[in-house]
Amino acid sequence: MSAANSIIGAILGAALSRLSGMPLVGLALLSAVAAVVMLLIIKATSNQARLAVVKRSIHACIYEVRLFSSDAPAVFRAMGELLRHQLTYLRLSLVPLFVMVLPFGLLLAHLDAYYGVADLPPGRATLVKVRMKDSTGPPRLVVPNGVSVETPAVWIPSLREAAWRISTTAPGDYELSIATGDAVVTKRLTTTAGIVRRSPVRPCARILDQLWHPAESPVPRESAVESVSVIYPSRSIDVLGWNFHWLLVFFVLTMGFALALKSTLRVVV
Amino acid sequence: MSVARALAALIVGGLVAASCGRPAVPGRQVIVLGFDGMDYGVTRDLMAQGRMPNFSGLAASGGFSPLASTVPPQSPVAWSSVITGLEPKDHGIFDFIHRDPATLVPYLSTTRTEAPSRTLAIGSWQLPLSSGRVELLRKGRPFWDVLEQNGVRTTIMRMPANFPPSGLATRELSGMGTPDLLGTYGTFSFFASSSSRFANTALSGGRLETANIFDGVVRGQLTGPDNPYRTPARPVTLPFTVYVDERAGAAKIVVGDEERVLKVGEWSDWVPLEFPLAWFAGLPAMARFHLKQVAPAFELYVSPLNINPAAPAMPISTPTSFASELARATGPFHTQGIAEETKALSEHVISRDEFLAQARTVGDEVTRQYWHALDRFESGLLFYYFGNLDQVSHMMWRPRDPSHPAYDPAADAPYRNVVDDLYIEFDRLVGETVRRTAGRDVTIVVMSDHGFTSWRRSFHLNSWLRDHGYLRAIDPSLEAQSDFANIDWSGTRAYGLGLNGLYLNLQGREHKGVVAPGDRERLIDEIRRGLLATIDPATGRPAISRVYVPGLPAGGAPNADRAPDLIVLYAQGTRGSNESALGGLPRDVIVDNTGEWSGDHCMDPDFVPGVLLANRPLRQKVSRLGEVGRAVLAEFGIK
Repeated sequence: MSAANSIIGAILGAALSRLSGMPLVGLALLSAVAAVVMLLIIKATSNQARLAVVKRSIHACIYEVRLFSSDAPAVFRAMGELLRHQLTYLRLSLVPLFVMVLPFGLLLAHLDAYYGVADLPPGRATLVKVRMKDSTGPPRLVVPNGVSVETPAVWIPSLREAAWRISTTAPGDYELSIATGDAVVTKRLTTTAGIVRRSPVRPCARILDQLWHPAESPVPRESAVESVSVIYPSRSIDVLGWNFHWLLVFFVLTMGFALALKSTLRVVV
Repeated sequence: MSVARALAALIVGGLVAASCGRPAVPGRQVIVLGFDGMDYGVTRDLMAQGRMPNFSGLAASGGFSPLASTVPPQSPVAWSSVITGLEPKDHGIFDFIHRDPATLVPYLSTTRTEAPSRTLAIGSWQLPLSSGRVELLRKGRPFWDVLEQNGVRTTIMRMPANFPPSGLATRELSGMGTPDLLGTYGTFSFFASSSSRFANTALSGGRLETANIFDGVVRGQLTGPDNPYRTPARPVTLPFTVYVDERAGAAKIVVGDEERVLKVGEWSDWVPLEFPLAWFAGLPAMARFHLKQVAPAFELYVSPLNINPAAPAMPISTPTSFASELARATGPFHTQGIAEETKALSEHVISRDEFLAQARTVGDEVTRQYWHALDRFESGLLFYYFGNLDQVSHMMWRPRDPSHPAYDPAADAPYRNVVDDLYIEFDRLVGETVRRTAGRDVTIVVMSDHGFTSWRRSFHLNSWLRDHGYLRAIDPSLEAQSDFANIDWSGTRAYGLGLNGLYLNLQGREHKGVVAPGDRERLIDEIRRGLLATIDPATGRPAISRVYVPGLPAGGAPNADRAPDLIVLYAQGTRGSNESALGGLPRDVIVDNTGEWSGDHCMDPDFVPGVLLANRPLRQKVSRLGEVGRAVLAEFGIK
């Protein structure tokens, strides 16, 4: 899992490195690529001829309803047929859907590290939270130059959690150290502006946690630390003065590109 | 392919449009800086001492003069006159609070909020079938409407008595008069454990909630306004949790998705909140938390719930998106019109230092937005209001007045220069404004709505009316009972409401009126003479300087029933009491003012003139507030 995350992260990092100041443009380009990949997967994994027939049948049923709107038995029969063809359409779409779930799930989790998380500008305070595997006491937080710890650790035994408020003085990438005995776990902190990869959580080694939080390698299994979090503000994408969640923008753009390109790529969807 | 082309054009066009701005339009420029409560005498003295060189520079080039305030010299009244050029009898704002003569319930004078008139009830839920309404009660045409009609773009920032915004300026942000989420001028919450010194006490202007620590955890809830989707009405609440680490002297506060870690004595930044109304709707707000202590008692102060400018629950700007644009550009900010936490200091829930720290935060927000507005100002009118000086003067006047009855040399001396320092800070702001606009054809006007003086003696007007047989209490022993609940209306001919207003209990107007209209003039004259003859035993001088009868326009006015029958203008150093303003009946009539609120201006306006300065002689002479708007029009050549 960790290796897959590293590869996807490196590819996205290279692709988005020149677009960090243009979130909408970057998202549009990624949507276009995602749309092409999606269409190609559909073309390769679905029964295109059968899909075309089912789509024509659906259209026929819709025409039948409109043409014979005064003939109730005909309308009911057409609607029944319509329902049957739609279920067939869904069945034919299941295979490409299953094929796409994993790569697109991974892609979305990675993109969230770029587009779901906003800048943490220097001077703005945030929290570092460390979840321990037991409730023996708080670890120590050691910070590099440029990061200041503004509060002592608030130790919450019932949550096995220690929390600090920190801030930075300059933009950059920092490495926080959480020390428990002789062992040290690190956590990345990014205060660079623009669309860059940020890691809100360094997760535990469980597969699902790694899937959700792919931007940083998991905490070693033998550590007394379970996970480390840094709270970043959430980001919205500005489209003509309106702010939307990036996932909605990505979905709409991807669908738009897919509809626009399906004829060119000769894909039936 | 046509769909593909259209889609591509839409995307490309959108991307281009999203990155484009509007071109600048050069033209005549006027900047009006309104400093609420800037006193003529204090300004003159500081200028004479050479401590306000930038003001002196303006005075030398354009003039410096006192500016006569309104009757009464209260901010909503005064700024309404600035806005409309009208007298109070015409714009209809006579005090901070008015009363509904039908119910005798007081309300905020400048705004009325109405719930949806039609709803569909389903069990304990109801669906509004019409929208609610927030109405600005100030009458008259704002001077910026005339400018806009003449093609002059106007930006009106934080103008008092302009909530909801008039909608007539190019850009507006509402100021004093903008309520908190509860619809009040600001209601704080204070969470204290049973061992706190505040436990089982009553707080004015705030809610006291018991919050004990169990196993290191405090659970509480913020209380919002009534939920419009529930029937019968019940307040909406938002739970929060505080994880206390007594050893560290710090705590983590969790409310909704937001988390903050605070040390004892720290204020949080703005915490966005969303009160759940129904599964499909939430009510956005924001608040700041102040962790006072965690041991031996737990005490947490929560600011009034402010309208969140990023998602305003009520209209606070023109256009609607302007508030959120400002928040994005300069950070979240206090939207509550009177943002300084004076009530909390008056109740000693926060200390002077904590108050000043909070007032500094407010001032910094306002100043940050001012530079943002000034840097984008290219033509037309920029009006910008600063309320910080007024609020700090209210709370910090006593340290500069050793004659004040509650003056304590040890406690007050460290704060002696707080007010003066703020004047000097605003002098620097004016200097920086002049520097940033150098070389431009810009008129800079500096003005205030009233001045300030010491509030040494409190006059319980309703107690005076009681003692002179004009008002009857239901239970004379209930001195502190407010909201007029202890007044026997059948035996009451006159009552005081607000800081300067006196009303007759008039038949045909008041719900339980007893004074026949034919007796009105005689009774007014009798009360007027009695008030003017009242001598303050502590000073041996009259407690009241003038009693003013506001004449209503011929043919009446749409707001005539709001007008007091008499406006009581107190002598210098004396002010109407807070208790009497809301119907309280303390035993004595005139007492020392021992509260933290020690400076004021709600007296005879002759004692508290404001200021007027400009960087060049104004085309039209201005000597009183109502002339400011016309003078601004004249600067643009508009009569």
